[in-house]
Amino acid sequence: MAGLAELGRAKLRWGRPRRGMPFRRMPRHLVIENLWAFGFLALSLIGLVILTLGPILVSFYLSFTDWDALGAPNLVGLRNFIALAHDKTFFRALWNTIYYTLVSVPAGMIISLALAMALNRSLRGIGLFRTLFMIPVISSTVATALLWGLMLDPYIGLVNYLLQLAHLPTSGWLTDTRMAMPAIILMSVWKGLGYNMVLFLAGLQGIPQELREAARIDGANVWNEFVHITLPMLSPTTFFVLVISIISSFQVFDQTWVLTKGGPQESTITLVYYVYQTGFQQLRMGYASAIAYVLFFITLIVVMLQWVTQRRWVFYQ
Amino acid sequence: MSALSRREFIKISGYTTSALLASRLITACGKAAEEAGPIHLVLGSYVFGNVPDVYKKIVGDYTAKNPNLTIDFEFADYSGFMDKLTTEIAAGTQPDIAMLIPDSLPKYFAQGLLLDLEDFVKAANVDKTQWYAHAWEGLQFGADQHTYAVPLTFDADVLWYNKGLFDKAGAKLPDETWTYDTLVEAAQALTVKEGDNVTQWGLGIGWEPWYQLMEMFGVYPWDGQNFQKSQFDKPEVIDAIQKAADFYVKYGTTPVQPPNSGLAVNGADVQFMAGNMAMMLGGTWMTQTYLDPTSGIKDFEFDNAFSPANPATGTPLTVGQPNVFIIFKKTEYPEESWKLVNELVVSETGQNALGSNVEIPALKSAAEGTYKKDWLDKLGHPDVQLVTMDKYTDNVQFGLLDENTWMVEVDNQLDAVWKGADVAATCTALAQKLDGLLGEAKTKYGG
Repeated sequence: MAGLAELGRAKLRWGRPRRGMPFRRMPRHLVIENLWAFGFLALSLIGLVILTLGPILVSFYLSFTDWDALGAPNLVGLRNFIALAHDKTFFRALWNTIYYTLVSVPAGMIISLALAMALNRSLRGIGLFRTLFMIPVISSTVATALLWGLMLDPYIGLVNYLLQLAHLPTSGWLTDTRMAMPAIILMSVWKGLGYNMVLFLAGLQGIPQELREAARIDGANVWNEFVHITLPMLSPTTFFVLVISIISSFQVFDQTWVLTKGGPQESTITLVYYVYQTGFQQLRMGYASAIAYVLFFITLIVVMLQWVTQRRWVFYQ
Repeated sequence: MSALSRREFIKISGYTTSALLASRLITACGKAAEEAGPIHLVLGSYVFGNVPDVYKKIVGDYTAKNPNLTIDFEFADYSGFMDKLTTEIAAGTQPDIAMLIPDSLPKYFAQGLLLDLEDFVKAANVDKTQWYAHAWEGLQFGADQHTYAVPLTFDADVLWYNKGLFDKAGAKLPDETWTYDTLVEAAQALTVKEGDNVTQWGLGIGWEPWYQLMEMFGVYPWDGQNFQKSQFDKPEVIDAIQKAADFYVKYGTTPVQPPNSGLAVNGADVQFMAGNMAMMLGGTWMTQTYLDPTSGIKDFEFDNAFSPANPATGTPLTVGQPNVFIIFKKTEYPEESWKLVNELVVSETGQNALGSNVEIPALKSAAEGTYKKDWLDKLGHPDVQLVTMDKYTDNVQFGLLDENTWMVEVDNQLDAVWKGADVAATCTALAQKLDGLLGEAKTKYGG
C-alpha cells in the first residue's frame, strides 16, 4: 500500500503534473522500488483476489441466474430480485435482522461500557475479572448456543426452573414466537460483552488523566465528568465499536441455526440464515446470492451513513 | 534496499520461474505415479454413534481382500454432510459413493449426476421380495425406470413408552388393540400437572407429528410418489392435522417442540430419555440410541408398541424412509464402486454389519437376524418393529421438492396450529404455498 501511495505521489511529481509543463519520467530506482513493493504484496493480493474478490464477483453473477449448485447456471436476468420484492419471508428476515440490530447493539455497547468503566481501575485481581468476561467471547458460538438452548428449554431448562423457584412467570422462550428473538439477543449480548469491554477499556485508558483532574478542580461531578470528558474522548472507540457491532449483527447466523432454525414460525429467521436456507437447503443458490447482495448493499448504506455522520459526534484528539 | 541492475532482476526472475516449473513437474510426476497404482475411492456418509467404526471395520476387511483398493471416508452429521456434498458437487469433487435419503435423488437425477445401477442390480440377482416392500420404492427414474440407488435400511414409527410411569399410574400398557382414542385417554391419564406446570407429559411426538398422525388416519401430504399436488387443503387431511393439534391445544398432553428440532437435544426423541414423558410416538431409529450400553436409557424400563390404529379401520399405519447408497456418475471406477456398494449394502454381510447399526436393515433376513438379536431382543416386544415394517409402513413421498424445502415449510406453518391457530385456514394456505414451490421446481427441472 505504501508503494501505491508513493506511486500516487510520484505521479504528481512525475508525468505531466500541470499543463504546459514538460513530461518527466519517474526515476528508475523508484520504479524498481515500487515493483519490489508489489512483489511483496503479491501473495496477499493473490489471496484477496482468489479467495475474496473472486467469490464476490462470481456471487454477483450468480444472483442473475437460477443456479442450484448441481448443474450449470442459467441467466434469468432480474427475476431473483423481482421475486425478492414479493417474498414475505425475505421481509420477515429483514425485519428480524433490523430488530436484532436495534436491540443487541445498544444493549451490548451500554453494558460493555459500564463493565469497562467498572474494571478500569488498578485493584488486585482486576485482571481475573477482565479474563472472566472474555471467556464467553473466546468460546465456540455453537457450544455456547447449545448450552443456552438447554438452559432456555421451557420444560427442563434452568432458567424456567429458577423463575418458578422465585414464583415468577415462566416463558416458552425458544418455542414462543414473542420470546425467541429476545432469547437469542440475550445470548448474543452475553457472548459479545467481553470483546466490546476490552475495546472500551483500551479507549478509557487512553483518556488523559489531566482532563479529569481539571474537570474535578472546576467542580464537575461524576456524571458531568462522564458526559463532558469520558464520552467525547471515548467517541473514536465508540464509533469503531458501533460500526463493527452493526456489521456483525447484520451477519447473525450461528445462534439462529443452532437454537431455532429460524423458527418458531419464522420469528427468528435472519437474512444470513435465509441465505443459507435458500442456498444450501433448498439449493436455490442464485436466489441466495441475490439476498446476499441486498444484504451487502444495506450494510454498505448503513456504514456509509455512520461514516458521514461521525463528524458531528466523533472527536479525534 | 539497493537498486537491482536489469541483469540481476532478469537472473532472479529466471531462477524463480525455473524453480516453480520444476516443482510443478515433480508434482505432476508424483500424481501420475499415484494414478498408475492403487484404485482410490471416496465414500461419503452422514453418521452418528459408532457408525464410523462399523464402516471402518467392514471396509478394512474388504480392502484386506482387495489390496489394490484404498478407500477414504467423508463423515459428518446429516446437515453438515449435505452442505459439504452440495459444495463438492458444485466444485466437481463429490465422492464416488454416498449415503443419502432419497429426497435429493429426483434433483440429482434431473441434473445427470447419478450412475445407472440397473445392470449392476440385475447382475447381482437381487430378489426384491426378500426386502421390505417399500425399501426399493422411489429409487427408479427416467422413462425406463432404471434403478439409481440401493437401500441400506428402512424405518418406521412406534409408540415408545416408559413402563415405570405406567406402573406408577396403574395404567394398562400399550398393545396392538390401541387406537387413536385409546392413545388420547392414556395421554390424558398420564399427564401430571402441578398448578400450571406440567411435571410429566403423557405423550411426546417426535419426527414430524403431522406426518405421523396423517399416516395413522390413512391420508398423505401429497398426491403420490413423484408428487404433483399438495393435499393439505383436503378435508380429511385437515381433520388428521386437527387430531394432532388436539394433543397440544385441547388435551394439553404434549409439549410443543422448537420447529425442526428433529433429533435436537430438546426434541421429543431425546426428551423421552429424561424420564418425564410417559409415551413418545417416534422413530425406530431411536432404538440404537435408547439401547446404547454407555449413553442410552438406564434410569427406567421402557419398551415399544405398535403405533395406535385408525379407529375406523383398526389397522396401524406408519411412515418410514430408507437410507440409500448412490454412485456418482463422475466416478472413475464404476465397477469398483459398485463392488463396494454391493459389499456394504446389497450383500447380507453388509446388511447385517452396517444396516443393523444404522437403522433397521432393509433386507428382511438381516432385520430378523442380526438386528433383532443385537437390539430388538433387549426390548419386551421385539417383534413390534419387524411386523410394523413388514405390514404397516408406507414410504415417505418423494418428488422434485426435497424435505429441506417442503417439510421445513410445513413445520413452520403448522407450529402456529400446535399453539392454537385455525387448522383449516393454515392448511389451506400451506397447500397453496407448497404447490407454488413445486411449480418453481418443475419450471427448473421439468417433470
